[in-house]
Amino acid sequence: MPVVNKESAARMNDGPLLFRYINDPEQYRITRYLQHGGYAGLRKALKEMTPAQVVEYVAQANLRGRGGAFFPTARKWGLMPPGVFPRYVVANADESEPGTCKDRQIMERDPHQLLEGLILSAYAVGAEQVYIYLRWEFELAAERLWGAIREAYDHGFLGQRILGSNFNCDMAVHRGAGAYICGEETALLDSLEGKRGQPRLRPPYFPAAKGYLSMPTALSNVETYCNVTHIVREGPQVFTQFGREKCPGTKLVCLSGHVRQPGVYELPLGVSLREILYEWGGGPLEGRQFKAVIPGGASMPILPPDKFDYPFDFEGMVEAGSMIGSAGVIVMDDSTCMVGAAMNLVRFFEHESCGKCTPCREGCPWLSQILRRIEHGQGRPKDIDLLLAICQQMDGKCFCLLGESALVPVRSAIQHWRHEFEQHVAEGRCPFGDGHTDPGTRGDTDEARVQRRVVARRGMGGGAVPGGGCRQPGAHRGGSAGQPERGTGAAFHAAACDRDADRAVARDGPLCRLGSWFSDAL
Amino acid sequence: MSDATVDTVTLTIDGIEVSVPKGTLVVDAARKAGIEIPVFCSHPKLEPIGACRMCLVRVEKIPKLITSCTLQVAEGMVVTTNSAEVAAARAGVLEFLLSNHSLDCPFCDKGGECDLQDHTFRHGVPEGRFEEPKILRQKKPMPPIIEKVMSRCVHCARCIRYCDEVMGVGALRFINRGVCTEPAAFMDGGLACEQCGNCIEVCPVGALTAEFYDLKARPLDRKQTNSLCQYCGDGCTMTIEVKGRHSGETHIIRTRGHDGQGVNDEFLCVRGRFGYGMVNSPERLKQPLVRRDGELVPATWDEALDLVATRLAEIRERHGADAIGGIGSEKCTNEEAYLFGKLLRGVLGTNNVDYRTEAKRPFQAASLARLLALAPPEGALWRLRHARLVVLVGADLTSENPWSEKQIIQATAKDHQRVLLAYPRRIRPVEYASRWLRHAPGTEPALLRGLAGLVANEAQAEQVAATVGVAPDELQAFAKELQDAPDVVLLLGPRVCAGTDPDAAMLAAAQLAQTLGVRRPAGADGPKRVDVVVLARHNNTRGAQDLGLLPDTYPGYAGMKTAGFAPEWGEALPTRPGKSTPEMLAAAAHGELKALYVLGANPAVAFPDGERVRQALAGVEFLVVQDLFLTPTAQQADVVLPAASFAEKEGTFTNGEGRVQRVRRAMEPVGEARADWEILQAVAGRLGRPWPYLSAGEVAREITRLVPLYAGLSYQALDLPVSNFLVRPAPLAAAAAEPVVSGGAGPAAPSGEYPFVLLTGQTLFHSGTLSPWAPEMRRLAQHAYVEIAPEDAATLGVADGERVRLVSPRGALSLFAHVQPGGAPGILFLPHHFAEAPANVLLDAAAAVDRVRVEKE
Ligand SMILES: Cc1cc2nc3c(=O)[nH]c(=O)nc-3n(C[C@H](O)[C@H](O)[C@H](O)COP(=O)(O)O)c2cc1C
Ligand code: SF4
Ligand code: SF4
Ligand code: SF4
Ligand code: SF4
Ligand code: FES
Repeated sequence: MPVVNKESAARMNDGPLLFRYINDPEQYRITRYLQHGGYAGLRKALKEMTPAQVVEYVAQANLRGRGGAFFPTARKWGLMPPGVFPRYVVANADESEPGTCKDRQIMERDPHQLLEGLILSAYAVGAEQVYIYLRWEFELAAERLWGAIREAYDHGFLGQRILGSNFNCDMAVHRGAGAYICGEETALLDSLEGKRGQPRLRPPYFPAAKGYLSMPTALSNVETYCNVTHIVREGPQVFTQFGREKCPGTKLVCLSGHVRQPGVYELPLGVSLREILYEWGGGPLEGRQFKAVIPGGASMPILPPDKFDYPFDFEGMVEAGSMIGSAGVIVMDDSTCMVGAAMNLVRFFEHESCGKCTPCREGCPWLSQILRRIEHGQGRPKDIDLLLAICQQMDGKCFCLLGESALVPVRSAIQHWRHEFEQHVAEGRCPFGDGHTDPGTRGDTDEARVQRRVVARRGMGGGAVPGGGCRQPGAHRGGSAGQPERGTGAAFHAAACDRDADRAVARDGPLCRLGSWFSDAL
Repeated sequence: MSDATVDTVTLTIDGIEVSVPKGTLVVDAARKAGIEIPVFCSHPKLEPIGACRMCLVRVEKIPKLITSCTLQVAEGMVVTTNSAEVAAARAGVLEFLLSNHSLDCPFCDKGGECDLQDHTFRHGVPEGRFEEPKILRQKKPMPPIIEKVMSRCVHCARCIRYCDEVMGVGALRFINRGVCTEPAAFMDGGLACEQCGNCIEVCPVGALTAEFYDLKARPLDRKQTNSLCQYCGDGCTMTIEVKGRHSGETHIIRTRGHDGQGVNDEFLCVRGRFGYGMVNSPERLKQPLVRRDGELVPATWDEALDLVATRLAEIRERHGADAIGGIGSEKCTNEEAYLFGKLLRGVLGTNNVDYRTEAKRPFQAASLARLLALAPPEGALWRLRHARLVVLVGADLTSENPWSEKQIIQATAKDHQRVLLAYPRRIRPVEYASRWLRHAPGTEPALLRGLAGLVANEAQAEQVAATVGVAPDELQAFAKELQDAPDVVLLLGPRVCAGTDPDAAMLAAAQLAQTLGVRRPAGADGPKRVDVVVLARHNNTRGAQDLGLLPDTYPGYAGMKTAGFAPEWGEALPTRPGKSTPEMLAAAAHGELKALYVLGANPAVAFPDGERVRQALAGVEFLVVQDLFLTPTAQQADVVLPAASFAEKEGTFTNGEGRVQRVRRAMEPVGEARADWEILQAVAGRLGRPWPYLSAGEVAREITRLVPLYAGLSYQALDLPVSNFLVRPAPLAAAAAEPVVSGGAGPAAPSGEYPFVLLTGQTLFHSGTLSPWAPEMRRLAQHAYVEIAPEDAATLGVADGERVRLVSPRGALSLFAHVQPGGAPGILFLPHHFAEAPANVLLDAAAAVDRVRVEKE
């Protein structure tokens, strides 16, 4: 297993499918991709398969969406109303979930794998236009994707009458403007249309029925489309040989936090969390013990160590009391203050709340204000129940899952580590030391706080200002920027960010993600 | 009214069974069952968004609470709104909303009428648990008028959605995110929009307010009166709010629309919402004036009225009744229009009466009646919202009839209506029209006749196209779409009915409608539906027409048939058609017309060839003017009688679609001003004909008795929410007289000395002589200007905002140039009615098309 960047000790394995050539520095070029069997699936599909057969392959493989909900992809395609054209294929490449950095690796290192899957999917559903909605901060990925698209056009894999067939397909990259909510599929579509990215009213429940420009739209995660590439190229069994029956395939697992070997690993679904943490992550840091794990990015419940033996797939994580989500496994050891961790997670959501609905817009800042007080030793005994009451007031009442997710870390932190909250209140200080106080916010005047927030919240999807289509982000999203806050979950591993972050965001940015070190390594 | 066959769905809400049409939202179904579900973002006129979460309810078989404002009813659905769980959800949302709310109710315009206060009172908990520092923000202006206080915003997006969905303007968007989200104009700056203020109206809290109103009053200080807007012929219902009922120093502090009331259902345009200031103006006439030694000096009512009566009687004695003429108003009430005709015809004995002050060539009453008979029976405004194809000819709808336009904007956005536009200038409807025929100015009659010929397959597209100055294939496509549409509304604006050859244009329109009506679109059975709508520019243009302020008809389009009026109005009523306004002014100039009675009109500024008008007015022996202000016309008068404004009197207006609605007195008239009908009654009395009316209502009763068109009218029936008294002349009445068709004018040849065609008309911010007296409206449009195309500006070396001089064969004017992107080269547009730059001095009453040259100053 080659280590990419020895200094950061972060790595990627040569996985069985998606990561087979991930460590090949030339893989992003089409010549190398072709040498490695690239576009064979597309050739095969266009020559030998009908679109229905491609759909059938994906159905047989039981491919479930890798964006987090694991909804069967072929079933989603089946929801597209017949006879309604034009239709679109959209790749959700907004990868903004804290602790998640898998799509980025593919787009930077093996972009043709995604392109091929997208073209195949377009063929399968009868679309002639594909958009890749790319997270704003992914500079290198944008460059690589555009390069790959150009190469694909040059080789006749995109454009008119692809490979001599009657199938036409165009592709473009659309860069977001720095908002986590634009990863939510309906907000993504609004943003793609040049509007402010905010979740749309459902029904219609799926973009498949009414998506981009109100037309049928197949929208999936980057990893999902990459799986399509392999399923078509080598047949469904190449996929179903991995994983458990209900949830086959491999999964790109993003391992970050207090482990010896953080990285992105392509693993068969269904391995246990323990295997991921110890065999791939190399176990806890010197002299430390694992304390908590979030298996699927910031939105999922935090699990204590007694849940580590559950199989890591959709069903397994539900049984364990959490969700697999984006498979962003964030690990915290016993140096972590759970109040601080909850605070950082909530501040991420507070910062990213789109502001549309009341419970999320108002609930997140309230939760974060209380958590900040407790963390700074100004908690009162009644605060803990108040936190739970606020969670209850948000639970099931938000417009979209962002708000519903925001309360999850608070609830699970209190559920499993209530004593830490009580200790903060009783001692009037953080028992983990004062290394993780909240820089820049104590002693602020109200006006300064407001100003800071207003600046920090400018970025939003597409047309954040009337006239539509403004692509000028006033700030980067907090999820990408942010200085590490020592001693709190998942924050420590982030190195400097790949963009100069707005200082305001840097201070407000709660939780940093893995990411930049991969591009540094190139 | 919409569909005859609506499926109904029965559901249970809190144990109450209700049946509602399929597609109804649960929140509306609950209202029907008498159950109030609190809402913020939900609004009856806007698409649901489900954002505020205030309306959460429990529905059986749905795992979570669900927003009742987004959920459609289903058969057998069981909804609970009164459980502890729902109550907790409501209290929770309110607690959230108040957490960063400034709670400055004592200093908030909305205090006392705020949804947040009301919902909290009913559904909130008295003690909040939020003890953190609030995120509060300062008041921010969005110039020129609107101010926002974001600490009060509940982020319901109603303002944004109204501006998008109803106004079609899209001036507002949310900026920032999370708790700092706020609705804002482009770059969070000023609002470059229609300034209608509807965003303020739909805001459930005090987050938006108008600078004119901000912190001027509390709800309890205000006396509210439901009445009508006095500007255009759409006839919006408005509430007039008056302050000072305790002090006696009354003035209007605000006018507003109300949800579910009137044809406008809460909407008001900028004139309706902010044009009230003329009532409060210190320039209002407060006592009668009479001319002594060449000067207008104050007089008592008795002096002034005696003088009017004596002089009129004297002139009638010496020169005969036809030496007297009257120019009435399309702004006064029906009752006043009726009495003005009765005074001139019945008391003074002349048919010299007209209300038109701008028309160079007045139409015949029969032409109008013929078109009015083709009006949609359910009302033009409703029809515009539902028609599949609207053909708009000769109207700058945005400026002239804003609410009519908003019907179309909503219909084009939501219901797939298509709009065909024929207009010589680039106006806002160009944005949403599917086709635009930019025909040569003044060719409306030829265009309408050509279209009638084309749909009847009797005309050559090339020939018509050449006459009106458009491309033949564009014309052909226009006609084709007209032919193929399943139903059509033909919308005719002032350039048709007050154009250069109105009778020809109106006849052609009627013929076009008839030809289309018998043509079925492919595959349809039954005749195609065609309606004709004649737009009314002023609040009571239609009433002035209906009640006989036209020289060739008695009230109700009776023509010269005096039978119904004879004994009651007077013994010997005149039976020869009288003189129209141009004819009266010409007669005055020639010394034939000795006395002129002007009621609320301002020909000195409105009628073409201003200099000649002034001479004509100076030429009459006796000029009496009844008005609110000392207008240029009034300045020339021998007697000026101060009239009450629309807010100070009772009566009715008939809007453009023929809907008769009530105007109510919101305050006492200023000074000694009196309602026009009272003044007319006093004059008649002094002329030996005491009329018996104790109130405007009694005049109305006489109208219902004598004018069959208005039979059955009663003030009670006109009450809110919306009057359903619609008048429409019977088709037969129109067939009586056949107008003579003269050929439509072709494009006028350019002339060397005066190379520009000059079009005049109104704008959104000023519609007539009244609005410039409102300081609020003046703020929006301060200076007179002329619109000029960029190409022409470049050739002339004129920059935007520079002063230019317009010279016509009749006169000259100096004003600012406004370079209009997309304007048609060779055509200038000059808003009329600016007293300091009266457009009429340039116009030639005899010319079909007016021409000017532009000089740099
Ligand atoms: C707040 C929020 C953020 C999301 N962000 C992402 C994202 O960054 N990338 C992604 O693929 N899916 C994201 N999703 C999930 C998408 O809405 C959507 O379900 C997914 O893209 C579907 O792809 P799949 O079928 O391949 O799973 C997000 C969902 C929510 C509610
Ligand atoms: S839950 Fe949050 S992100 Fe989702 S719509 Fe509501 S405010 Fe926006
Ligand atoms: S005043 Fe009217 S046009 Fe302007 S923003 Fe408000 S609603 Fe829109
Ligand atoms: S300003 Fe008023 S209408 Fe607009 S979002 Fe805020 S509360 Fe709603
Ligand atoms: S001017 Fe016309 S549209 Fe505007 S508020 Fe008055 S009646 Fe309504
Ligand atoms: S009223 Fe239903 S969500 Fe706002």
